[in-house]
Amino acid sequence: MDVKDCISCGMPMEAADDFAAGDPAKDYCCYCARPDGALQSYDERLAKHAGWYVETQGLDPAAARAQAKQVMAGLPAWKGRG
Amino acid sequence: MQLDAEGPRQRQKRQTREAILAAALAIFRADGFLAGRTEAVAKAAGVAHGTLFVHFPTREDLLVAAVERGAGEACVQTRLALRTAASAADVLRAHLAALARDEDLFVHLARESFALPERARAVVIDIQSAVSTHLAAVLDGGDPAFVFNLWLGLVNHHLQNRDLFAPRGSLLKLRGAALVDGFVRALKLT
Repeated sequence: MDVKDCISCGMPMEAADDFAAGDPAKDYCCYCARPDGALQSYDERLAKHAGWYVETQGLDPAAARAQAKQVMAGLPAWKGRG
Repeated sequence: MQLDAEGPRQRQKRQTREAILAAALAIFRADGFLAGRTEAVAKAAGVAHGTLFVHFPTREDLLVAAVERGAGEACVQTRLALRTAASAADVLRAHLAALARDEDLFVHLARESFALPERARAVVIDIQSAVSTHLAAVLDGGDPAFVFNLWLGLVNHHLQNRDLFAPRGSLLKLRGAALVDGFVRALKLT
């Protein structure tokens, strides 16, 4: 399977279960999908992406949110946002 | 990218952009992100200085693209190693292997990340969280973010002062194994 990068968070999707709803035809990953397989909203993703920085690097929440906005602005699903 | 539908003008445009990006990475590896000059990049790419700004409207755009490309390529090569890592030492070795693929670039990132454009710095932060996530997956409790920050501090200290630790060659080839072994033993990681 070709590796695709999630359009929403940039995560490389290599296995079927990396994709939303386990569907390799999707352009976004299982972490960016809601339980029904739909892409989460910008605000949901921003909160989760910032939370990931807090959890994994101990960043200050406001600083983490600013960093997440910068990264998301460069991703296909969120270009021009933030 | 749909290469099949690409016409001659689009192909030439893409090739010129790639040539500028490759030249930028070479200049930034040699001179650093802050000191590397766009005039030198254009000359190395074989294009007029003004042409560079057709493809990258600002110097910041070029910096961000270079960081994304350089750091991104290093990470692509270590995905599988990280996915199959079974111990903290495996994750740390995979992290250093990624840095070693482009050590000169990562030396400048370690020295200059505070002064980079916000977007470029954010790319570095994002990659660090990916490594930290893999480390957390193999740690047995504790505070994975704290352990990762300790590791990152150790690695960046050595990269920033490479001239003192490995003045005549690759820091990571010379000291990488010792850094991993010393860190794992000091923190009693498994």
